[in-house]
Amino acid sequence: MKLFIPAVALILLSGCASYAPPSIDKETGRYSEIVPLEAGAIEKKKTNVDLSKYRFVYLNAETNVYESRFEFFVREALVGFGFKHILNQDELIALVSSDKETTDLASLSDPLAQRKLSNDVGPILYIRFSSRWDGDVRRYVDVEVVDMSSGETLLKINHPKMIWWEVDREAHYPVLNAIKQWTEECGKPGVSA
Amino acid sequence: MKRLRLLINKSLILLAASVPTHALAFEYVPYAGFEGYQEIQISADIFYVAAHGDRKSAISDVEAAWKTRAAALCRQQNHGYFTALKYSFEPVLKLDMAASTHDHMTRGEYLKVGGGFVYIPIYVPGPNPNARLSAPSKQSHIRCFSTLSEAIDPGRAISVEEVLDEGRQRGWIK
Repeated sequence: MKLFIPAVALILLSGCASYAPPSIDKETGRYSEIVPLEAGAIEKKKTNVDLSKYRFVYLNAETNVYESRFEFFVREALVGFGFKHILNQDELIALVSSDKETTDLASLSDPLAQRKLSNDVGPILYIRFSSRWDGDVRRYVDVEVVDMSSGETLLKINHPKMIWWEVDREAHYPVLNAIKQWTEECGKPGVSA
Repeated sequence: MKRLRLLINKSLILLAASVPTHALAFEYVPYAGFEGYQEIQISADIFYVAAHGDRKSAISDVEAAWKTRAAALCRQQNHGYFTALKYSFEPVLKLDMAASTHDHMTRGEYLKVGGGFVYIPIYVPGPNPNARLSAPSKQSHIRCFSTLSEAIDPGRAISVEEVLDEGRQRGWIK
């Protein structure tokens, strides 16, 4: 009993430090996940994709726990997978605003504008990476990768997880490993502007 | 019962002691999960730099830390200036202009991707019914360069030495 309560306290504290610099297995190059994804977590995967054709990634990193830290965490992973240029919403708007070819766009949320945008300044690979905390012990991690020119979903992952020990190793690393494997199966992105 | 209460009190003290002391003021250290700076190197002279504070951090301190780290990275590359980029491949140097023009001319050649399209909202985050944790952060790409004459808009250039001086005054760097 003497050790139990302090031990629980330390475990709880260790779980708080999420989005820390990644722990990667030197031999496999994979993130050090505690448990792999469940078999049904990958809902769609198209692997005959030429990732080198995309000029940049439009990243939508969503979370209700330290948004900026999470965005950095996802960016760092994507750069490690070979995606060189990654733009978030503000950066995409800055690009569109500065580009003479696209200043006539009335709205960025219009579906026709979306297609025009990808055709004018892309091709763009859209990645939505969402990690939602339920305010308790669960994380709901969802990823969708879409070819913004065609609207086709290339990869879709759904990973709800109860966190026992550490959020990154249980909720995020398994999903990052699945994305890494997908990029390897497609061939190196080598995105360049 | 008394012993249990004593144990709980001890645990609370341990918890309090375990909370990082740097939560009281911004500490300029590499980010390891609580606060500090971190960066991703995109190319030889382009970095994505971030500084994250905690709930007690003033945004002015976080922005100063971001600048200091950006300047330190450019100094390591022997550059005297840097510019915060609006996006990673924003042309900010005169040398970039030729490449940018070329890019415009060839852009249409590899875009013919067939198929329909799907609505992807540019603005996605909405109201969240769950708990939310947040703290000040500053992050963006930077481009390092050597002389002001290289910049398209010298007014956006930030002097590495001036920023490092400020970092020294704050005791963040030597």
